[in-house]
Amino acid sequence: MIFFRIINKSFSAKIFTHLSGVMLLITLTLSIFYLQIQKEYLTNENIKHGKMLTSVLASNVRLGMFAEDKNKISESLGAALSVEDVIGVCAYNIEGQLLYRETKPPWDQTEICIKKKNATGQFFEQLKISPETLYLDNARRIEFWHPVQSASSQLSIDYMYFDEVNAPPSPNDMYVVGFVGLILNKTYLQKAIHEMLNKGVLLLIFFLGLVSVATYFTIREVTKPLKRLINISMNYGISKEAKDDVGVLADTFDNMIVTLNNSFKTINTLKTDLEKKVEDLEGEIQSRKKIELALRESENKFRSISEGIADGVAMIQEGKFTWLNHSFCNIFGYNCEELLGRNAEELLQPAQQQPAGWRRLDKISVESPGSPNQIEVLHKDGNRIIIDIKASKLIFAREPAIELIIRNVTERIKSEKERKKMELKALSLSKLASIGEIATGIAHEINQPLTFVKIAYQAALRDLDEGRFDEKEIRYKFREALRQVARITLITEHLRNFGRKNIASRSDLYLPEVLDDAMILMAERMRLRSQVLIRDIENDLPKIYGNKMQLEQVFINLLQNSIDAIEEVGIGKIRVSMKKAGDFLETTFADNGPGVETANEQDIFEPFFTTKKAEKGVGLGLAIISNIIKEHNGTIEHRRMQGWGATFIISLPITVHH
Amino acid sequence: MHYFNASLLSHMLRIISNKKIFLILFIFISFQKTHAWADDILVVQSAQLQVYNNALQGFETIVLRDISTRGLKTIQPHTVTTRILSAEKNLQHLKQEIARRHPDLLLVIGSSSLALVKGISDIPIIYLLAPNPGLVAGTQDNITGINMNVTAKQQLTSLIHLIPEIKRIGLLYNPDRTGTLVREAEEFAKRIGIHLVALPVKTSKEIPSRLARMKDKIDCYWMLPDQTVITPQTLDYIFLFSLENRIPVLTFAEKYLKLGATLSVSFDATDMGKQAGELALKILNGTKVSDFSPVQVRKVNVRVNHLAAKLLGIDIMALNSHE
Ligand SMILES: Nc1ncnc2c1ncn2[C@@H]1O[C@H](COP(=O)(O)OP(=O)(O)OP(=O)(O)O)[C@@H](O)[C@H]1O
Ligand SMILES: [Mg+2]
Repeated sequence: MIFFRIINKSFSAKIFTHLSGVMLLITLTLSIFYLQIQKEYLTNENIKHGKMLTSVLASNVRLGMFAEDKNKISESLGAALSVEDVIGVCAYNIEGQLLYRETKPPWDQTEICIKKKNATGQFFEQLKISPETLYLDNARRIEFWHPVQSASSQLSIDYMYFDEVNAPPSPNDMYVVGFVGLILNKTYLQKAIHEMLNKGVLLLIFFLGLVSVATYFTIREVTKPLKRLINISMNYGISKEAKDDVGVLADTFDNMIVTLNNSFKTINTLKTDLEKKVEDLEGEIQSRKKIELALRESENKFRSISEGIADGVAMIQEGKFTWLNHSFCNIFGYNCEELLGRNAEELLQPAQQQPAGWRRLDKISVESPGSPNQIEVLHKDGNRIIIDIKASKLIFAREPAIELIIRNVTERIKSEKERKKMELKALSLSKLASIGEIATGIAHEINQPLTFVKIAYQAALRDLDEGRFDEKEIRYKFREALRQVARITLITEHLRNFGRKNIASRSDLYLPEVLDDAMILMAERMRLRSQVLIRDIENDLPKIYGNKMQLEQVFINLLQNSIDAIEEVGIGKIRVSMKKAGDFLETTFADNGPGVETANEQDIFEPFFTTKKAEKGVGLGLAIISNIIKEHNGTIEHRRMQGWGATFIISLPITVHH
Repeated sequence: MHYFNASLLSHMLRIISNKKIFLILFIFISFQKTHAWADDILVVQSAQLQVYNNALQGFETIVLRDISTRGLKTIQPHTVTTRILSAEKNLQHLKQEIARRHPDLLLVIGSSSLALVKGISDIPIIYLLAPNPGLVAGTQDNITGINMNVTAKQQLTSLIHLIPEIKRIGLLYNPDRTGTLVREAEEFAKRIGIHLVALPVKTSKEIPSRLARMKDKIDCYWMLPDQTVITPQTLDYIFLFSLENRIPVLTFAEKYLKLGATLSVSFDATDMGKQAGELALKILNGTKVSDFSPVQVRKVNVRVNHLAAKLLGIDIMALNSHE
């Protein structure tokens, strides 16, 4: 039990037992193999020895056998008994008569050659023709039998005198004169085999011992580092209940890994803590530095920055300029020395006369702290200039001050006005263009009711002519004709309004109605192209405040764009939805055309951007629309919507009544 | 001598090739009735054995030395053509060839050669080195030869001459085979005062026991050319017996010396060839074959196995193996 425990515990012991086992197995197999071969060899040798002895005897006994001389036979055969393992010898003549039989003392004469005597005939017949010694293997002994041969007894007459007349008698001329039997004791063979076996086993044991010792020392040498490792592990308090050495090692490594992991975790948390602290510290230092730097350098910086920029910057303290940059002086056309110390109010006198006691500076700084304000002032040369002015209160040079930042926008305002004029021109142009464009549609729009009226009147006239007087019928026709005429009137009225140059003033509008008005002009065009308008308009929409004609133009333009776009597709639809969204009324205008190409998205609101042919469009439509919407404090943007082509979303502020 | 004849022959042939001389010769020859040329002798030798070659050489020294006095033979020796039996492929063809060629004389060396030519009755045949010619060829008027068996007298004389102490000689024999020889021996032994212990055997199996019985009764064992007594087994026995009982063995053939025999008294092959040559010349000169009974070998060789003699503790005087 202890042994097994040791084996299980110690790694070297395990290796040792395994190796020894393998060695034992190999050696055993080899030994058994070797012994088997040896045994076979010994047995064969024994048989060989017996055969040789017998054939020698057979040759020796020839003469005695020839004369059947018992003494001679005894002389020839008796010597064989001196051989250790020979039990007995016997001789028979050719007729099967026992001529001689002799045994060694403990053996009984009558015990040997008996069987042969009984079974004479067959066995001796077989022996006669046998070319070599026959042997019979019994449990205790082996019998060898050999025929005794003699040369032909007659010599030729010549041969009596001369040797070489004929060839000397050949073995074929030999003939059998008797038989010799030799009995070997098998116990000698068995003894020899036993001896060999004993020797083999002894050798095996010796060899195994040697190998074991060698293996033991080798393993001890090899596992020395392992032992040291295990001892170290033991010192580190690894459970001694572990199955074996390797188990101890495994436990040690497990523990080590766990400990290491924990250590790593601790180190990590420590590290992050430290990092944070360092960061905090750095941040603090940085901010302190920053503050200090800012404090120290803000003025200088301020100065240098201010000097470098195009905007004019000035500091007003107690109503007087205490600091100016060059741009400020330039804008007013003065030298900076001239302005320093001057009264700020004086310089900022508005170009037009204001009521007395008006303090501009206060107004600016109070009304719009930080936000730009446009005022008109006088340049040194007496011209009016428009400046954007921004005022804010601050501490400058440790004193409260008003900072002024100004920009000369005279030129820009001028050009903007110019642009406005241009746009207006373009708008009317566009209107005219639109009118021209839609003229055909309008003609049709008018033509249809006219035709109806014409037919109604013709029918009524015919009825009257023919004396058929159906009052009810005629009344209906006339009323219908009147309605058609009213429609024509509406169209023409509308056209008149549309063409009017001056911009109608704003009013509260119900936006769907504006769309309806736009449709009066556009419906026929859409019908001709099999296009439909889908209206998705919320009930109880609030009104907006705006210019009806302008907004109608927005819709007309959007519709025209969509019609153009869909034309390429075929049957199409335009969907207009309106809903309230907070303070705004949101109109979504979508068609199922190909949509705006991504590359063009940025440019479509730009004036004169178009992808259309010269006779179809000039690229002003969306530009005008965006202008009109801006004037209404609304927004317009282009968006992509799943399943639709171009989609425009227009937001207009809802009217607020005070 | 042989070479001289050859150069003479070529010289003669060169003279003959001259046309005028050839014409004269032709006329001269046409007057001859019989034996226009030298005698044609065909030798049939059983094998290429040293002993056979020696015999043939003896034969040739006699025959080729003789130049016939008749006709053209005065200038041309006899021709001797030799065929070796063991080198022939077809013995039947050889026999037919002999009949066709019809030589003046046939010399057969060895038993198998004698066996081949037996039945040829119109050519005189002389045999050499055939141990038992009667057994091989029977009796035929045209056959004669040299009897190779050394007589009992010859053998015993040699033995006594070399080892005078020997008084009792033992021998085994099959009366059917060597009875005559034994009777001759007994007669001669009696004359020179030797005691001969001759035991008859019927089978070779009896040899060991018979030998054992002679053990103390003999000073020397005499080996006879008896096929019953001499077998591979009995030879072992005889020499073992000789060694164990220190009894020397007298034998009839040199081959037994190396097996353990002490002394051999055997024919001299060359001399035997010469005897045959002399016989041949007589026959070729007109003597009838039937007038000759087979001739007994006249010269014997006595050889000693000194090692065996030493082992047996025998003192052999006047050692001269090549007499
Ligand atoms: N519904 C729309 N679908 C697709 N593109 C549109 C649509 N509305 C406007 N656009 C694009 O915006 C461009 C500018 O439109 P805008 O109405 O300003 O000019 P215009 O229609 O080309 O010419 P006009 O001066 O005749 O109106 C158009 O050329 C067109 O490319
Ligand atoms: Mg347009």
